[in-house]
Amino acid sequence: MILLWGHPADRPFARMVRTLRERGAPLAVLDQRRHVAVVGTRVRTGDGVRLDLADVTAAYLRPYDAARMAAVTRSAARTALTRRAARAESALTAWADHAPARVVNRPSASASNGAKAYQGRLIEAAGLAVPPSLVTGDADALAAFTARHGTVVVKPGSGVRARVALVDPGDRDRLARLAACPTYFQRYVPGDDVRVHVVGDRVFAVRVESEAVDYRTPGADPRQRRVDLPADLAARCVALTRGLGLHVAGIDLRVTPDGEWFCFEANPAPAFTYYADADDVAAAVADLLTR
Amino acid sequence: MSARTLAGPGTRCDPARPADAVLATRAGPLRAGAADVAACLPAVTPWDLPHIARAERAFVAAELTALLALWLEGARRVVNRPAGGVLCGRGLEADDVRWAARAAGLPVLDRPARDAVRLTLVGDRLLPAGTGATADAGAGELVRALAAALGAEVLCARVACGSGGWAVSAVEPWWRAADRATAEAVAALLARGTR
Repeated sequence: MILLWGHPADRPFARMVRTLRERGAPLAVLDQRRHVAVVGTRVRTGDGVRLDLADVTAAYLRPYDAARMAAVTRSAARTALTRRAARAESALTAWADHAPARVVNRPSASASNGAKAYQGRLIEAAGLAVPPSLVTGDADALAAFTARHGTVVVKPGSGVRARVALVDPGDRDRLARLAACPTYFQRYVPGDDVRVHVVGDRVFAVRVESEAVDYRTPGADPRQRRVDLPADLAARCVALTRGLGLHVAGIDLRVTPDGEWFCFEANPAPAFTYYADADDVAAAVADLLTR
Repeated sequence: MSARTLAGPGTRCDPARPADAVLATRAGPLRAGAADVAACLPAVTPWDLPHIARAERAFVAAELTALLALWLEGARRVVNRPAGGVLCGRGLEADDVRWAARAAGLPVLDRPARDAVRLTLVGDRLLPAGTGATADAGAGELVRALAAALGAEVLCARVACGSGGWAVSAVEPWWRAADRATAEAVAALLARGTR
């Protein structure tokens, strides 16, 4: 039995449900919008799913923060629903961390992505270069960093999604607020992005060309094409994924015009459907879950 | 140090040199490499930050948690070290502890028992149970095995003895249960070096 836990409108989740159904794999789909109760190893949902976690051989997890979902926040009974959702989330997360099943990915292994500068140390330990970085709440320290490295970008240091932007040293208003929230800065690296999906020991890469600092910016109009990574780089991406304790990762690389490679982060819940290799990634993840 | 006392300019952490990372606090700058830390904060939450604009609290809380994860990496000694995204390590969440115990083959109760005995493990020292409670060597061994399964140096656990012997009943944050003896044992553990 393969357990899938997430939101049906989430594209990677929906793709994995579809791919596995097409293969006729035995599935239990936990729709996060429905009430889920977990007692011991028994799971029961508001839409009729009955499941014993002891029967689960593999799992694919892409849960959202249940307390923030519309089904909860728009309900008059939101306090009780939040409590119930949190209880189910806690139970399933704990199971996923310790289950003998193959879990894509274990929550505790995914945690380093919530502290990017810390994860950068693990990335370097796997043999990939990370651009010089600084977490600071000090405008003077930022000025010194900028003087040393030239163009600098600001990005979220946590798992909160936000776009990467160039630092404007003249933006006094933002610099004045720095002390209230120490922020993650990194030397700007020119070049093309390469999104690498590692699935077990298989590697898929897409080169993303864009004029924007962050190709996810609306209107950036990125151009994608599939590429092969140099073998040693692919091996380091696999090593990084394994070192983090992950089965699947979306690794963000950038290659400079001089051919120098940098790594920004390893995402444990990659939104692979955005990329040109989505079909192959979905098939590879399905292979992994049904193996 | 608490989330609220993390304030002012001066925080600077270079991931390449974590021991030199400095936190600005109301009590002054705190260099990681010179710090022995008894970690009692799982994460910074929006509720820890009433001085931040409401709309920004969740974001700032996540950023401060990420900052502390990096700073703790450079600290001289930490108990318990961060694990699984929790700044003060494992041994706090009932579900996590229950599944970890099951995975390690340790007996665990489905529901907390009323007559459970509280034991606190600090390094290799097992501190006496609370008033009126009794525990034998088997209870101590169970708490040690649970701490090993969780990777926790300090753990406060409740165990209960039934017909099948001792079983894990519950856990609680060790600092909430801490009495003078526990506090002194943790201080001694830090002084001894535990990285």
